[in-house]
Amino acid sequence: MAFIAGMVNVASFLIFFSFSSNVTGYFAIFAAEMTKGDYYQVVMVIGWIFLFFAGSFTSNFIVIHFRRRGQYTAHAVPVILEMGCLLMVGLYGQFAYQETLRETEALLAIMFFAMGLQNGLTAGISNFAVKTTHLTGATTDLGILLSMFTKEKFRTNTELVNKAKLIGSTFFAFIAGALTAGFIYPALQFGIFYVVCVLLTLVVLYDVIYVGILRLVLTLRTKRLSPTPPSIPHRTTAQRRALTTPFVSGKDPAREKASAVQPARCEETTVR
Amino acid sequence: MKIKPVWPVYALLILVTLVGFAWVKKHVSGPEQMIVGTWRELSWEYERVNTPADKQRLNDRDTIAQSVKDQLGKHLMIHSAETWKFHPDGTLTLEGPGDVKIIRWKLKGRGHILELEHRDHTVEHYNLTALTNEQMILNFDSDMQVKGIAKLTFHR
Repeated sequence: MAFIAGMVNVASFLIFFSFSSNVTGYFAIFAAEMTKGDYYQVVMVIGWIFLFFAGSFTSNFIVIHFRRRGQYTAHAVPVILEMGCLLMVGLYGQFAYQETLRETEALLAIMFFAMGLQNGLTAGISNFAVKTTHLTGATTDLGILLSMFTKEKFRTNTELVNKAKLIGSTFFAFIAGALTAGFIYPALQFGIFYVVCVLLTLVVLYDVIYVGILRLVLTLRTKRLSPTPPSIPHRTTAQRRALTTPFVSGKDPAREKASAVQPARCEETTVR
Repeated sequence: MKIKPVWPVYALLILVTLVGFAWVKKHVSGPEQMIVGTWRELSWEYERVNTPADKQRLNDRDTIAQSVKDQLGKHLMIHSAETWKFHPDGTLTLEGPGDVKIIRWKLKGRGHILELEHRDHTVEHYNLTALTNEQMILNFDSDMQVKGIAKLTFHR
């Protein structure tokens, strides 16, 4: 996701001369334009910041309210929305863009919303730990972590090391995305958004593919290790008969009997 | 469903914002409208230079001498243009002493980048630092002779 954000950010800068994956600078621009009295710019900047906010709101709204319909769906919908937004930018840019200021503002607005969606999703599901569309917080965190690693007790702290690895990978991905966009932009122009959409499709399908492969591997491994699945305990004929015998009293004698006499194979499986 | 009470608030927020934007857009004139008209060049200045030595080379004078301006603008399509006429159809007439050029103009970003496109598709970008009814200020990075940011000021 950080790779995608890096690509989108550079694409928006190269095409529209404005960044779209972060809003910190726009707060400064808002203040500067306000003091200059350029209210058109003020309104525009507020609009973009609002759309970034709205994207983040929408994303987390979907995640928390649609979780009942499945976590996968709840996480996939914001990514699909983001894909739709960026595809719209790509298609409009390639086939209808007349380079007017109004179009530029509108396309940037869509991109801000898309980046808000992405940031809201990653930050929401990671409990505010991961933000993929900008590196300000990550830079701060990395600075803190590296200073902590000057002490041995922190260097051996697995949690901190993992956090540093996560931030490092976010950095790497964002920069790689930005560089990729910089290199391919001259050739693809607005087509760069199609590449972004393909990558987002992979993100959406990642869980499906990953879980599918994982299931396949597990099934194959289980089959190789034991012909009988370990989840089904092996029972003797007497035990099976006892289980099927209807009971009249409050206690279930068959179950008691079955649990009392555990087959050796089952014990072995449990120990493993 | 539990989420029902939240939807109206969300929808209302979006509606209010969109209406607000539409209202403001209608009442505040944008840079694309404001730039249209005739602008006369007032001055070329170095607003920022890279080193104090560069500043010294300019003899501590902000205004760029004609010779420096000639050097600076040698590779720019706006060179020697004293009057700029922005037309609403996206064309720009650059009028200089004995020279008239017609090129195309566009605004990019949030209206803070002026893009000029020559007939041979050469493109130049300028920062539109200020734009009011009376004054327009353009900035551009220069690496000619004295590195720094040059400032062009225009009046109606």
